[in-house]
Amino acid sequence: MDFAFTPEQEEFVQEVRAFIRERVPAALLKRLRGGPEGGGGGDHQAAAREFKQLLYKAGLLGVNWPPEYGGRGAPHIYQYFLAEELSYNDLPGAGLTLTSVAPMLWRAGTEEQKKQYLRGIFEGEIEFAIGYTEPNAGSDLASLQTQAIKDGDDYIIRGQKMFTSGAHMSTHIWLAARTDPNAPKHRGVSMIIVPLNLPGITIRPLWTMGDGRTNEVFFDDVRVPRRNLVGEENRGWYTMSAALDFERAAVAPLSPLRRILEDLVKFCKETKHNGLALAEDPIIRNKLAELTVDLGILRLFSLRNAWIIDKGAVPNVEGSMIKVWSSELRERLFATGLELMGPFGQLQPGSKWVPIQGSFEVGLRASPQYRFTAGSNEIQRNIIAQRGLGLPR
Amino acid sequence: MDLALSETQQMLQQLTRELLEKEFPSTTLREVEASEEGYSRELWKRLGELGLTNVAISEAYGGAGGSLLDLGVILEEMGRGVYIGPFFATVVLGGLTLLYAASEAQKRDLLPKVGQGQVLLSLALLEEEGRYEPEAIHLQAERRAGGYVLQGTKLFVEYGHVADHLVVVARTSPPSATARGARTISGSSSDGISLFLVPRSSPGITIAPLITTGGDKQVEVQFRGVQVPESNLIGQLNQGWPAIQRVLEAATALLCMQMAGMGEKVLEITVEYVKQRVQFGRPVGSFQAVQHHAANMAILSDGAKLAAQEAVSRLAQGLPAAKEVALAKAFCGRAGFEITYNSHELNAGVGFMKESDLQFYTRQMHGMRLRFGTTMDHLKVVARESGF
Ligand SMILES: Cc1cc2nc3c(=O)[nH]c(=O)nc-3n(C[C@H](O)[C@H](O)[C@H](O)COP(=O)(O)OP(=O)(O)OC[C@H]3O[C@@H](n4cnc5c(N)ncnc54)[C@H](O)[C@@H]3O)c2cc1C
Repeated sequence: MDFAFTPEQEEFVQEVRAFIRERVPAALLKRLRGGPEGGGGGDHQAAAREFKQLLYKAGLLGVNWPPEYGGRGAPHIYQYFLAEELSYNDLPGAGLTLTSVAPMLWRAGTEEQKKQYLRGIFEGEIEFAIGYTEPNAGSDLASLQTQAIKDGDDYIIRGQKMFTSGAHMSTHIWLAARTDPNAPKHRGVSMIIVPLNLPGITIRPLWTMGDGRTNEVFFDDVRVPRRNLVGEENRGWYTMSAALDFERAAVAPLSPLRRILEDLVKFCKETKHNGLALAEDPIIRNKLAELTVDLGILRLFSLRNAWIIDKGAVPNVEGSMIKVWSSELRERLFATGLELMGPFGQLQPGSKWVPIQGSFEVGLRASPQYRFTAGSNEIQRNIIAQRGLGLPR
Repeated sequence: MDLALSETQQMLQQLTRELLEKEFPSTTLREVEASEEGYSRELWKRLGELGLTNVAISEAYGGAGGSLLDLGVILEEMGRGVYIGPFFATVVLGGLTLLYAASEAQKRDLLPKVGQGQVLLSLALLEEEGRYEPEAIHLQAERRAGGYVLQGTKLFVEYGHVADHLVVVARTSPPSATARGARTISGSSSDGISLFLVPRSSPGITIAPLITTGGDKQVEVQFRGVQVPESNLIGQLNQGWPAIQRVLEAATALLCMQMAGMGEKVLEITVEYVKQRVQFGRPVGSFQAVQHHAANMAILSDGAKLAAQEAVSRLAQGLPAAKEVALAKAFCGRAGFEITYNSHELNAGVGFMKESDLQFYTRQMHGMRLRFGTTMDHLKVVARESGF
């Protein structure tokens, strides 16, 4: 057993850091950081594409993919390193298109699909929105009712998706639709790639308490070729479940939380009360130390996930564990920080007196979604208890 | 012992609840949040007409002569109704300061107008350190011919931009060496602090809004050479802090009532939702994982309400309540946070959208959790008041 990274891996991390430091034009960085979380204006989107192209050209995006797709054929853990560095610096590139859709296209897609989409994904030309949830299918995804009706060489898509994040700035939707209404719930679902510029698609914004944007997407008899089916027809449930396993492993990266704790510690060192830095107050020290321990555990969970994926497997119960742990830790980090700020914790970004640019205020407001998206924490705990511990259902 | 509300209190409860349901639907709340003024003038008028601004003012000044608990019942309902507006600033922060510290002439002049909702007040207390302590008061009031000149900055002044008068907590002599460093949120008296009644329109005052999580209005007020006549001193020179401390104690307890009302309503909304939201062919409220969350929320909600009630009821009876108030705020801060954030877990996607009203509760609760001392601040007082 060895928890340390190899010298090559350390070198790669340094390479990514140097890239971010030296190869990204300052003007581009500024444009990238201007965009609100999940919202995104036109320019942020264009900037993100430019940035991904830079990453790709440097052989970083897709580092773990075979050379014929522009990668370096490196083990998966390299993508983990890349994603950590990007999210630490609040940079795009390691979204679900890369971390959840691409691995499933690789596993379940046809050769033609791989050719058609993977390179586009790496070049930043193709971006997927995830279309699972519907008004009546949240935790119970198998109840989804959006239909894909066979018509010659096409499917006709009819129905509604809900909370489809990024649909307004994506090129395609990774859609779960019902292809056999008569089969048992889990057996009649298929995964279909639908370009979002087709006639019959309407996208409506939904704004969250955390000021992020997500969407409702309506499909009014949208025609897509049957070759857009990914994997076997009516076997989409399994593809979607595996994609969700990848998603859970990916939505819980370590570095954004590490960044939050670093900001908080810095705040506590710099803020004085009665001549004493907050960080020197034994009670506050203890709180910070507890958060540091919890973050340390998150680091270990995330290393384990990377290792599992690296071996060619998909984290399952392990993915559920990290998802629960990180989403609850995120909330604790922000809530503790705001409490230490007292009345100043009420201030929103842009206020003259706001500490840490208001990132804690908006951070806490945005945090509930981490607990219930990608499968709610109740569902994750059910998985840990039932699949992990073998407790009866 | 009797834990029931009196008849008058039940009447106040019903009156406030019905008023807010009718006059302060979430459509109005959304407009109010987005507006510069930050409150509904019509509702304010109604609160005055119905005598709700009048409740805790003594009969001698045209008030109803009710108790702090009567006021608490109204605030609990304002929590349920996610009310934002100048009520707390005027009736609690400004009104109680006048009631506790002002001269007869000042009371006769102002309190009847406050009771009728004709005058808005606020308290200008906090400064750059954000602490509710005399040592954190640096705004200077310097004696000049016939009065004082104020110089300094106040923060988090609730509805200060619409208040007709601000009660300004100022320093009139430096803190004594012994007093320094030994104060906490409800620490003992400190000399050198004086209170002034300052019309908002006084020359030298500039006001800038602070953007807060709760969507309520709090402002920064700068005083640059603001002249205040001698007659606007409230209470004794240099002896202002004990009154502020008394107001803080009452305000903290009353805020707990508001938080408790809010928490209870969030629980009700959540229970309603999980009863009707169906997944896996059954209401999600039938899953034990969901039930246990709801049960925890109910425990926290009941605890918060009882703690707030005991604190306010002791104050209303004139009993010492330092420990009870600190216990209530320490607990309400924690309960308020857990109730709202767990409600998001159970209401999931739908409750997280701006279209849902749940966000108002969560944001306002969070603001209240951070005002008038956080849980951490009050735990220190609990320890001290418990003799350790
Ligand atoms: C900001 C945001 C972005 C999102 N982005 C996407 C996206 O891009 N693509 C997409 O497809 N979806 C997306 N979602 C949807 C998200 O995944 C769902 O909200 C989530 O799956 C929960 O579904 P629900 O909201 O319908 O809650 P429900 O399923 O209605 O759950 C309500 C409550 O019941 C509990 N519950 C349900 N079933 C059980 C059970 N069996 N046992 C115990 N408890 C249970 C839940 O834990 C929850 O507490 C997004 C949501 C949000 C808010």
